[in-house]
Amino acid sequence: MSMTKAELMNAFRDAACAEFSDYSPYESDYGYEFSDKFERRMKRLIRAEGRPTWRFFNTNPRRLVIIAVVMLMALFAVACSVPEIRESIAGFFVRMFSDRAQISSSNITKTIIEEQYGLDPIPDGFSVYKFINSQNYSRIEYHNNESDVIVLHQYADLNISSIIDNEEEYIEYSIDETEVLVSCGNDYSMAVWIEDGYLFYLIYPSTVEFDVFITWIESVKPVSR
Amino acid sequence: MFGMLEFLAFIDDENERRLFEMLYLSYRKQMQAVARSILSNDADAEDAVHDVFLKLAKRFMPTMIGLEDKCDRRNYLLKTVKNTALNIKRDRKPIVDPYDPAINAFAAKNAGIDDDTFINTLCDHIESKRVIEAINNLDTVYKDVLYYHFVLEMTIPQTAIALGRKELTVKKQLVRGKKQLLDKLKTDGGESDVDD
Repeated sequence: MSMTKAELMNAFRDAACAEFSDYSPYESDYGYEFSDKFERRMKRLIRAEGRPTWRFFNTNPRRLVIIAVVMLMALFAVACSVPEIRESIAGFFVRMFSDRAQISSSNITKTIIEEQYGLDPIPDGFSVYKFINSQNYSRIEYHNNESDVIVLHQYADLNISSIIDNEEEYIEYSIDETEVLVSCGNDYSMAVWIEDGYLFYLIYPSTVEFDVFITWIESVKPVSR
Repeated sequence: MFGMLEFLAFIDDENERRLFEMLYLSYRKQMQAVARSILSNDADAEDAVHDVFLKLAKRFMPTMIGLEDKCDRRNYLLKTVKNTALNIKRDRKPIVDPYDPAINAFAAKNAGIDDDTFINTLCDHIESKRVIEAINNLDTVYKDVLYYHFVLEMTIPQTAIALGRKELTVKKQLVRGKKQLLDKLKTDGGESDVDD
């Protein structure tokens, strides 16, 4: 006797259920108590799940786009022939174009780099490889023995560059009341946030656990060279 | 200077958050038990559980919302944590497929039977009892892929992420799984209208 597609799907479903037939379907039958660390991680994840996420949709191939942020919004208003759409996300205003995203924010209050920020503590296996400084921009690169690189950019004032991949999905994530945009893809992790009047951008072009990447963000603070 | 304004989509769904939290509260201990049966300590098992919920939050909530059958939701979570735990145990090395020269050769030469033909072949020609038995006797590696693909309606990339395997591996396992299931039905006795 032949079967319907629904019956066939039920056959696959029953086989899957049978695999776990030894496990009670009732949580109350399990006496396990999760660790505090696990509960904290899940609490953050549940909180983040309810927050806005962005997705930028366009037809361009995926690439990292360096964009220049111009704080002179009047200039934009004159040059643009399309209505300005400004959405506030994590303290940023974002305008989307076909090949880039532009970020601006009144929370970027510093005009020069007054203090150098870095990761403290430096992640295991990594060491400071390079400092680059200018009046309103700073960058620290950390390398390990496996050619992995962590880069922390710090921006002040007008000539702010920020890298937004317009094919990636960002989660708005709260860390100690600071809103951070985080994206963890298969090949890289990125985070953008404003703190102490500076714009920070952290990128790790390799695979890292989400929780580990969050600890790196949390570790960013003024450091001495 | 400026291109067309692209549209920006926000996803801000309180219902989705509630569903996520409900899934967490309804299945976390079962998932911990499954992971712990594979891994040697509670901490690694908790990591596996967290990894699954992280993947769910990042990518698979739309899929979960589309699953009407609660069994499918449970199966997805328990199968995914099982495979995550296995990956942790193997130190994230690729899963080795069951070695079968005939199937490997077949997969290498063929894109395999397409999904619709596969489903129609099973539905139109085979007794349900034999199908159920053949599915139960499939290698777990293939059973998981077929379940994710046909019942949960996940794409190959989604299945690869959920199971922690490479896309090419999942693609091959889908081809091999379909062939192994059809071959089992041919060799398990009884009349069969299954053609190669």
